[in-house]
Amino acid sequence: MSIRRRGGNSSGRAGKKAPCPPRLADLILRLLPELPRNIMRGDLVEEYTTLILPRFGKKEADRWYFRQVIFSIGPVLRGEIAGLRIPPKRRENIMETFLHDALYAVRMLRKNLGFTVVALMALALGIGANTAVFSVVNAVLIRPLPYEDPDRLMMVFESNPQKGWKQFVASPANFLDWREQNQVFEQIAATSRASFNLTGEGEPERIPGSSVSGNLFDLLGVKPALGRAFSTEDDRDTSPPVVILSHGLWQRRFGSDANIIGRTLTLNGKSSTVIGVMPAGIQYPGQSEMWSPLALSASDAAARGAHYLLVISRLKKGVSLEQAQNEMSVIASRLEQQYPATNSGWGVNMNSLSDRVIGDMGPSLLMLFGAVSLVLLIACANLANLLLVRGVARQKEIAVRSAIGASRSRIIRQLLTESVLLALVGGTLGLLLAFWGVRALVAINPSGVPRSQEIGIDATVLVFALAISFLTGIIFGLIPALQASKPNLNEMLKEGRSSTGSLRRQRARGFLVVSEVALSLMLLIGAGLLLKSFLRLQNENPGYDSRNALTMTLSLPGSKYKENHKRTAFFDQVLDRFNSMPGVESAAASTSIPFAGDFKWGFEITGRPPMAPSDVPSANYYAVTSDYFRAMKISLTKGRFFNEKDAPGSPRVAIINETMARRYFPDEDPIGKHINITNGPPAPREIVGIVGNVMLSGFNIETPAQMYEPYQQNPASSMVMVVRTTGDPMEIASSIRSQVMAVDSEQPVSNVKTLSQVVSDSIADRTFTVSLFGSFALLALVLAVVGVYGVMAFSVTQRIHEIGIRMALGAGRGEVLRLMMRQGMKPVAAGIAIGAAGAFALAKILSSFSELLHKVSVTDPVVFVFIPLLLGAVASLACAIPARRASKTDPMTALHYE
Amino acid sequence: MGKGEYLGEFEQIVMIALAHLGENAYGMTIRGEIEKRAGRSVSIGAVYATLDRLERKGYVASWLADPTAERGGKAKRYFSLEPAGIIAIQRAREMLTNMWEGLDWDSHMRTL
Repeated sequence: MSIRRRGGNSSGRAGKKAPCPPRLADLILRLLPELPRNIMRGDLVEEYTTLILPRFGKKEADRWYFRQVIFSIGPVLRGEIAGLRIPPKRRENIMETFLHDALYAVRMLRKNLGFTVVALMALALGIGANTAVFSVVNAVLIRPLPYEDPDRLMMVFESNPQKGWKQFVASPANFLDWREQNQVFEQIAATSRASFNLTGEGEPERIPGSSVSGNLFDLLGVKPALGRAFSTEDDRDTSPPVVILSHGLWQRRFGSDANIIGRTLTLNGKSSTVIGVMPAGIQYPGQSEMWSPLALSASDAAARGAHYLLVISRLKKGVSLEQAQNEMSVIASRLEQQYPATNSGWGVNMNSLSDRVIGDMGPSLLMLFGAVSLVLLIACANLANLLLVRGVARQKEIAVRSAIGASRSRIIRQLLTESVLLALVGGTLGLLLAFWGVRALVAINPSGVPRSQEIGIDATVLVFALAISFLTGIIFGLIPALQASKPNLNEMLKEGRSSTGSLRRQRARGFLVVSEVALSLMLLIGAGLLLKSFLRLQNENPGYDSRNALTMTLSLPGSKYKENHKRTAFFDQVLDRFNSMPGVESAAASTSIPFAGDFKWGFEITGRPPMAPSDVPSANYYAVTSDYFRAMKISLTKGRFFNEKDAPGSPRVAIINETMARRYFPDEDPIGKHINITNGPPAPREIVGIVGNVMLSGFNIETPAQMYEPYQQNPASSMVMVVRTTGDPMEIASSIRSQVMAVDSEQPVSNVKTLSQVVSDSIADRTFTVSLFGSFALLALVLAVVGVYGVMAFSVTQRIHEIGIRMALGAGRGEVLRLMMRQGMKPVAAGIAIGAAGAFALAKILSSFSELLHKVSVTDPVVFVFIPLLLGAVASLACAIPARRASKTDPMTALHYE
Repeated sequence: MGKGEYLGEFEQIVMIALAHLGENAYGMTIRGEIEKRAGRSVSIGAVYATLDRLERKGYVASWLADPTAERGGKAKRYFSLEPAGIIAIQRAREMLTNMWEGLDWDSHMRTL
């Protein structure tokens, strides 16, 4: 249809009666962006009322209106999209435009130095913390292990579900049968922890290392940096002893001597030849610095009941972990039938090497990464808020820019350039912080994080930092840019006085405050729960006194101290010397101390019916000198401690802990009863005392049964010495060494640490998680409070005129204060409500992570009440400062304020 | 001359309409002028999309005027030709004229 105009008169008779084009068409028109929509609708309404309606009547005019709307949507939307694209003419100048934008941005940022500094600080903290945590995640979880095709490397453990042992080291005979019978592994190798007393080369030193199957390095796919790896020939007990050094040991102890290969070292009193040096970063298993061949003797190889081998395997290509597990389970049940005495109840449990290396740290790290991302999100919300506020202040500038021809996309691009530039500068500062933070992280905690020596800023971390900086700039810049680039020109022209900005902008700011408060409350409650659980752990009585005690390990070489009397003589002399030192209260020794690895042995109670070997109960075993309980301050519940009369020839005795007494002698007095410990030849020990429980690693597992035996009656070659001091234990550390040297100048002293250091090392991963989570929560709190304050302070400044009017009309100071507080606290209250709900969900997640919450309920009332109150109090303080300023306004000044 | 600088047919129509309307060129009048002169019914959206494109090319300029009651309180957006636009439309006309020049149209008609 062709509709012709009746005439040029455009004033018509409109204004007398409101024109009413079809509502549905107007609704459809809403698909279009606001500005073109309004102008277009103006044209359509004008034509509809002045030309079409009078000439064709309502029905036809409505149809005309509809057609116009329908056929306008497509072209306008296409045009809008095309407008956002870079026109071809300017594409070549893009670099120039960008430079121009960047220079302009630098000018604007310099002009608002206060804003820039605050923004950069928030960004540097947010991005820096993220980058630091990411560098840990990168080293621990992302970067592949330094072996060939590490995904095919699997650990193979024995398991005994009846006894609750999920992953247990394997016995040599079982390992050899696995190697013989399996079809799923390309290779399989065993390792056993070993330490080497290096003597004759300067100060004696105890070097941690491993005895390994000859094929271990081939299995890992690692070639030595110098010399050769072990051969099958080396892996026989009749072959001459050889060793391979780690790169670190070679550098540190041998000054990177290029002629090290072929040199003879005295290790554990025997000479061994160095045949190779491994490349840097290879220390499998654990932190091995030296390797010797496992070289199982015939009797070792036949042992099926002694479990001490850590087994690693490489899956054949195309074989899955599940397939391998199935086959190994079949082999295990076959061995169980074949050797019921030793193997009944034993199965096989496999997992990947990377899972083993990462351990419990994976979920904790991801949780920390989540927490730190929330912090960055809060920082983004904060900056977005600041920019929104600034957007109001810059309305005039932007209006002028669009008036002289800048398109909306051009203005958005300019504003985004500013925010991205800001984020990139903040990111660079953050990277510096991360450099420093990573060092601090590694320093806090060498043992709490696996692969911690690999943590650092590498290319992946740099790319990550760049990417999050860029993304951050876009995230916090986009909403303010979209808002600011849409100035309502008419309102701008009319508005003489500034206001708090459009309603939409106010809503955006409110929304941002709500989310900041909610996110930070989630983090704070999470941190509160973790901290409470951590403190509860620390306050629990461990059963001994960790203050003022020094510990160290003395491992006697078997070749020099073959006979028992030589060992006891050595330790007796050393203890005598320690005891005579000034500042020493008492000195004692034990085969192991809490947190430093425990030995388990089976035991049988004399007079009870005999049991199948697999049903024999077990307890943690310690051979201790008579002063051990006094030195550790372990309490005596009943009976007596060991004394000098419990000598080698005297009747054998034992002391048990409360758990063991309760569990195995529920209705009788254990004192006077006999137990037979299954290490060595059978000999019943009379129980002479019951002592308090000594808590073990991680605190939060129930204390197992523990049994003690006099060291004199069962001497070991490696002992942990405990020296209780009157003052700072580290002060005597160096004289301790010289006392040992005086007894045997070739005897190394290792692991010299205070007892409290040993304890804190054992919970290092927990300390790491809690302290980081706590700092992130604090950071979040600060950011959120700054956000609340910023919004409030701005709102007061913007409303000062209104406040002046209110006061001039008789509003009191209290009323103004209440008004402003109400306005400021509304989003805070909403944020607290939402955040508490979110925190509840977060706490559920926390509690599912490997017992992170110890004896603390996920809905711990103290945390859930106290922390929201604390946040509310801090936020109201942040509101109160500007609100008070508002209430102190002099109405006359306020009314004149422009 | 780059490809982007040629004017499409509808672009030329819109620009000529602007020239005819002079100071009274806004959405409704431009649409009406095109209908009146070219006999072609076009949607207001198509007119604006073209005008926006021409504005981005620097051929036309626009500005907003006060809203009026007969427009339901909405502002009017006026358009005018820019010097670059005048040059471009003249060049388009010349190009067509040059193409037509010296053509013996009658002989073509006979072959049909």
